[in-house]
Amino acid sequence: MRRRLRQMIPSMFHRRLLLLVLVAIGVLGVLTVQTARLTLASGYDDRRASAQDALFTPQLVPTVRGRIFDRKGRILAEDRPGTEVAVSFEVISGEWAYLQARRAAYVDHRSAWTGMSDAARERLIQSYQGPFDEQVRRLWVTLAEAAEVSPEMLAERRRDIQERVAVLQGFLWQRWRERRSAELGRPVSWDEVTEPIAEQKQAHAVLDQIGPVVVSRLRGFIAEASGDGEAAEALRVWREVVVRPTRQRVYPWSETTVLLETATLPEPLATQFNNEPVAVDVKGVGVHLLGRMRPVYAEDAQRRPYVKEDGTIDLAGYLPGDRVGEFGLERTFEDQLRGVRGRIVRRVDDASVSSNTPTQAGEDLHLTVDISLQARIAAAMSEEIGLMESQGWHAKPGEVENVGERLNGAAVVLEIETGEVLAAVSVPTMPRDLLEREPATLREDPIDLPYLNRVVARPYMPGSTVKPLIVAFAVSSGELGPDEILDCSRGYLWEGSPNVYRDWRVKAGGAPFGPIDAVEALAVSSNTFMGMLAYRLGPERLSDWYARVGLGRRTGSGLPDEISGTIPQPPYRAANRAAVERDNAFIAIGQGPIDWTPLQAVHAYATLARGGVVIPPRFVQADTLTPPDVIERVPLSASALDVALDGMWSSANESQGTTRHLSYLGRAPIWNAEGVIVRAKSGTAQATPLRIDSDGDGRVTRDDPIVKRGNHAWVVALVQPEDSARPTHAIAVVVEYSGSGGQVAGPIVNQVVHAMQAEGYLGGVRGVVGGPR
Amino acid sequence: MLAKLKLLLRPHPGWYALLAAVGLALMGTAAIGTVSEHFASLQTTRWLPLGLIAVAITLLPPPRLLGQLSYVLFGVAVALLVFVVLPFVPRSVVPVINGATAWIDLGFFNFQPAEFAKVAFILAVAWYLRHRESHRRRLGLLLPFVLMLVPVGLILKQPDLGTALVFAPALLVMLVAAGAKLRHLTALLSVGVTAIVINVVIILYAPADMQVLAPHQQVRIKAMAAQATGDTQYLQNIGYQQDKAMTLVAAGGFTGLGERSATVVKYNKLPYDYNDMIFAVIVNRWGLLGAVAVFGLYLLLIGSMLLVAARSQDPFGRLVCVGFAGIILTQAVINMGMTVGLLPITGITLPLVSYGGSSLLFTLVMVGLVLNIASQPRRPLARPSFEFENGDAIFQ
Repeated sequence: MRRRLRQMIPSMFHRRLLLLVLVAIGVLGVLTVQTARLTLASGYDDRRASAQDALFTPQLVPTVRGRIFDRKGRILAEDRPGTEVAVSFEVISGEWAYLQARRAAYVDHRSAWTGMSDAARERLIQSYQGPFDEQVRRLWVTLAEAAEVSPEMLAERRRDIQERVAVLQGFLWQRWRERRSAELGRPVSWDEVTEPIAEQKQAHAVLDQIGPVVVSRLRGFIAEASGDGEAAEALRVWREVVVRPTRQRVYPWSETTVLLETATLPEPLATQFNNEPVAVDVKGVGVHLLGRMRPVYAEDAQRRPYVKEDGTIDLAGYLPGDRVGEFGLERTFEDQLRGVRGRIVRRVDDASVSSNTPTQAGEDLHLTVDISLQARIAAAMSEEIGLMESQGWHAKPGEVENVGERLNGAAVVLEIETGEVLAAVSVPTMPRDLLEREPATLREDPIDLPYLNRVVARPYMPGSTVKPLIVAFAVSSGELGPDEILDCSRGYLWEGSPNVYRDWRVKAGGAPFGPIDAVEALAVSSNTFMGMLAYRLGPERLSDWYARVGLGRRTGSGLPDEISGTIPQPPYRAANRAAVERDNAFIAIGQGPIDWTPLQAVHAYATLARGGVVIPPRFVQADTLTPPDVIERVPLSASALDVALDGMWSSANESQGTTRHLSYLGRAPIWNAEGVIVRAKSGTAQATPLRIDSDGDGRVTRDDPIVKRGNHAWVVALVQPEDSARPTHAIAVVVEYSGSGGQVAGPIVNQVVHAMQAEGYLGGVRGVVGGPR
Repeated sequence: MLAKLKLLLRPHPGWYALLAAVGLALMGTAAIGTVSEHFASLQTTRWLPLGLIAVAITLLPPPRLLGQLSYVLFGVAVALLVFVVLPFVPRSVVPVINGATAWIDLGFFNFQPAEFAKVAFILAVAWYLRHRESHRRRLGLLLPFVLMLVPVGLILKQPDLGTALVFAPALLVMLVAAGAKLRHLTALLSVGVTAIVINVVIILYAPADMQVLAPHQQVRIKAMAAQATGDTQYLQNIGYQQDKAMTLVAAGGFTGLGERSATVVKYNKLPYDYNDMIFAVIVNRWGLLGAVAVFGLYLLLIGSMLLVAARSQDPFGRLVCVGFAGIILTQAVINMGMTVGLLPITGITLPLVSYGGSSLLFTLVMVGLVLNIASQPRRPLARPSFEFENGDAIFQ
């Protein structure tokens, strides 16, 4: 073979050349085979498809978030189309003038540019920067004037944006660095990751909700700037301005005016207003319930990404620029309200539409809340009226130390038949403008906690308001006959401990109640009576009863910040049975390791009023929520219901009743609404004084100063129109660190009743209310 | 003068080389036009005319003079390569482009010394080997390799791995032609291949603290292995370019997308589509047929260059032709190999086809020099060169 080759090609050089040619042919052959495989083999069809896919650009069509209505069909929240002005981040950060100066300097000194030292270049750039700085300055002035806002406000807006972007940038760079370092298996320096983030390349909204006149004026500037010539050059910065449509979430009822009758207020307050109606501006109506929208966070995108892990697209997924319900019902029903964006896919070359997924608007939400009633109650509890202000008559003369101080608390109204919440007011309210402008002042107030929805998110010891429930539990368990009389003539529960567990009248130096039945015990709010029932029921059964009427677990009303409250959890150790029994006696009067929320209070009372039928309270109408499969029933007996209701009636209506009169205002009656039957029970729950961490060590200790002290004042009421056979509504009011239950909360519940009548409930005729603003 | 012109214009295989070169350049211009009118017009109005003038100029000097100057030229090339990597050279003269200091800014044109070094290197090696027999001994191979390592080391410093890669195969090809013992070369080749294989194995399977190559090089190898096994983790970053190139190649099919290709390439966002990735554009536009045409033209180009070598009686001329053919083919194969996913991505142009001043200019210089050598008159009774196995039995 070799010899034959040598014979054929005698020259060794030529044979070597032949070898090289063969190698070349071989190598090119390999390339040919691979190219043929890529171009022809079916295994690469997906690549062919992907090359074509790149020709189609998807365009997203924003959806409309669902509206929120109140029970009477009034719009509480909706997306309103508007116009906003956005300015590129370069201009906001101030970098724009420098970059423009640099560009202009380069154009004029192109040939010398590369030869210049850095310092000389910077000097040259600086000499060009003046006019551009002036352009930027004029831009802000023009924008402020056009939109009629102060230049300071605009400057603050810019600072906010810069701050937000800086925080985000720090976060992202850190993450990029970690990721890159993991990828390369070595530490990565900052220089390798410090690229501008998307937010630094975007335009950010500096003005929103601008009117059509301003829009056309600003559009004029932008159009002028986009032309050629010197005039356009002088307006160059306007090329960085965009006027674009937006959808703003608006809450029309957040602020309203209520005309409030003052004649029904306790006398000292009514006198202040000469018994004349006053117009009260209420801010932040229903804000705790509705919530608010915030920008999208990384967690949202994680929870529901736009591009799912398998690469498919979820049009309802989150993208930068989306808004998300931050708290309240906006958050709970985020998925229903949100809607699904549309997607139009067009070919880039001929703009033909290849697919079109239409948008799906978000579902509307219908609330059980009557926003007008909500506003009226909020007005009654507003600063102007004085019911939520510490008054001398809130407790025994001399006992109220902080007269004039603003009080915090909550009020809730529940329709018994349906479990629907008609109103839920938490004081202090959150004015929406403050929430948008300086949310920190609301969120970081450690004393008043305005952010907290006190109706569902703060636990309070119930105090004596549990007593009607205790009586009902005992009668239903057969541990107390409906007419059974217990001897309370000692005035205290435990022999030999006259100061520990006693009746209030004994404590006040009065006579013991003597032998009384359950109705009377409720009317006078006897502790010893309940203590005796506690021993009959025992701790296990009492805990069980409490749990059955909804204590110790979330009611499932639909508010995201709802808490469960506390009840004692059996089993108990036999060794300290006596101590457990003693604790149990306190738990039967709503003290000790037991607390609930105002919503749980009305829920428990409504369950009692329904004779044991449990209907979870709700803020959203039934067709939105799935109704429970099984209606739960608590085995409360009819006679138990009778005794409890009679006791509450007696407490609110008979002269000995503790929820009947304003003891320190000449025994004036608490209740003054016509045509309404009120059954109520007050409660004065001992509260641990509120201390705040003043030295910043992260702990609250005894060294920290007390900022609030006093009892939590409760009244829970069952009300009905006179012609109704049964209670129709349950009302609970709690006022923190105030005074005696009936004295503080009673007049507020009374105002709630008036508000309900004014809105057509409880046999009332609907009056005039301010509309949404 | 007229006689010289007559000699130049006489028919010889060198003309096929020029024909192939022009063919490749025209195909390249059309492909560049697919993605950028601007670069295509620059290529036709500036770089191609400039290149053809260079061809004309390189026809003039007698090859012997070039040979005598070759060491000087090589020295100049090395000096320029040193210049671009010097730390204190102002960035206005040697700008950093794509992370490398590979260019000298001449104002009208960014000159790439490495391209010039390729030509000078081939000339110097050819001049060195022309009458030698030392390279048939193992130790004698050492010096040519040392000669090669000087520019390669400097080019790696820029860093420009792609350009550095083509020197070794070119030298190998010249040594084959110059009659080095094949078993020596095979041994050398296997050492090289083993080194590469060991490196790849280390990258893919060894722990992080045992790595030899720089991290960015490791990732490229990993990305390629990932691509071959269908793993998509690198597609968004390091494997992006190759993935897009392969996608566009696949989309080309048998006959290509024709005019539509412009849009498809544009919206697939292939980086460097007008230079390093031009082959992907060619296949996308003209399909497998276009690819085969490119392969054919390269085969014609280097075939005719080797034919010139075969017909030449001057040992220097012979080796120059072989060296140029080797370096052009190596570069073309690396470039197209990475485009179709056979080799890892590295920055390297497709000779004569890609957009680019220095690369096109010096490849055309190579073609011009081959033409020059081909046009030398045949001398009777020339001494045979590189005929070691059959001694002086045969005279060409």
